[in-house]
Amino acid sequence: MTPATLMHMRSLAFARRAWRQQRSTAVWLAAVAGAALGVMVFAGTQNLAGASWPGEIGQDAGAGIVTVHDAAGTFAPMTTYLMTMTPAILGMLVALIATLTIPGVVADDVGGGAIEALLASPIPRRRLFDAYLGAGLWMTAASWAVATVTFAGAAAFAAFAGGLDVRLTSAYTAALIVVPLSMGLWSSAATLLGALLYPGSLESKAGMNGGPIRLLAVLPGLLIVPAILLQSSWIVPMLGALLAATLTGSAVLVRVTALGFRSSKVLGA
Amino acid sequence: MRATAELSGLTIGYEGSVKVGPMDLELEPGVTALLGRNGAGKTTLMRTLCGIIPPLGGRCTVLGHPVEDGAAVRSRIGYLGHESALASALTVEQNLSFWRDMTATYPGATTVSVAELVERFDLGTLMHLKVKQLSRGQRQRADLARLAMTDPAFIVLDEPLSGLDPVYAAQTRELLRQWGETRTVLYSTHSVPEALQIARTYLIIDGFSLVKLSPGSTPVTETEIFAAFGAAA
Repeated sequence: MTPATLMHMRSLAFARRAWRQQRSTAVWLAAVAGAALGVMVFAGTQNLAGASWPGEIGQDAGAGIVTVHDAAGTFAPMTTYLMTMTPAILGMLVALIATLTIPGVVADDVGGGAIEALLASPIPRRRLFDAYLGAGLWMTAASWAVATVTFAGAAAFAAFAGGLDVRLTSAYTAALIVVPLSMGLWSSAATLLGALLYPGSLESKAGMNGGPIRLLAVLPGLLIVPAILLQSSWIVPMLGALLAATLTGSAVLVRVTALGFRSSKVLGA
Repeated sequence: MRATAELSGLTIGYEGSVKVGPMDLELEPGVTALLGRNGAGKTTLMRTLCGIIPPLGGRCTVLGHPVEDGAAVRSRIGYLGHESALASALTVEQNLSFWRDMTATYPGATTVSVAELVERFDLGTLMHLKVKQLSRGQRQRADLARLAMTDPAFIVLDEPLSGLDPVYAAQTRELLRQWGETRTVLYSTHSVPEALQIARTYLIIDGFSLVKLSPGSTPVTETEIFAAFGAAA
């Protein structure tokens, strides 16, 4: 078997176990949040046409990556803005779910004896962390799929009921995939680093409730992604850059985790 | 008899702080009991032998290979920690399924089927129970099945008999004896009488020293073991 096949097998084994342990968090939280977002975007966003809007949304009713018009054909800026931000919100959701599920899986291994048995196994440590990361990605991918489907269902229903006209661009569809994927990848890698290098940092009694690690995990989703989504002219190359940056950053974090990991520190935790 | 583990000038501990050593030792096939007071370094020694933590100095060779870089040799080491390696929220079946998937990726590992392990460890009635629902003895039985999945030649067990009821304790003692007939079994315990029932060879840690007692023409006695505690101090 090739190293890639072995890595895939381990990631799937970890993912299956994580799914059995954490699926309620990953699925229900994503389903509720996705549906709520879908309803929120299309309901209660009327009568805000006079407000000022960031980026290109307020300048040109048709220039953004998504545009929404009401039943009378009038541009709906608030709904358009929320639709534009939806990939970022889904990305944040996926990032948050990664910060909730990965510590649970790692903490169970560290608190019990699984981490000792895994460290005694012939699996190289870096490959072990890759497997944890792979499981985190499977979990975040599942939560992204659930959130996106429930969002789309709720949004389609609400838009149909309200007689709204929604026009999506291919860049928007790409953003719905790339942004949550990037945020899930980064958040999983950052949370894994925290869980394995600073096992106390994600405990509920940790300062700011594990704040620094969780902040590191969700920071790109908070700051960078919204700015990207408002730059419709450059969005495709910027989405590419975002994906490349998170791939590289996550690979670096996993490498740092492998280099900085001290079994004695985790086993003493 | 050929040594299956060789320690040469080995010092062990955590974060640069020496717990035991330097020590020189050879382990042969059979059951060896590791004795020592609380915090003496028994778990540290066992973790070092399995490559879980690195030695602070010296060499540690298991089955002919340095343990820290012998991926192939680690497929033949079985480790049972003081805490169960099974996820508490999952059933025994789900846990064994996870470890079956993991051991399938070990290089050169001999994998024993789950069905065979279920029969050998009498897990039939436990397979659909969550690990957190099991008693300590039942959990340990399932964890021993997990350990046996790779048919290890070098077995290290951290206090496998503590907290077991008499029936499970007797079954586990019998299992250790059987394993000891063909493999190297190192297990830690606080009970000298129990160790005398199961083991042939004894390692006693006290202070920084490790003393090995092997049977000569007569078996090792309780008096010799307690004397070794004093000698090592």
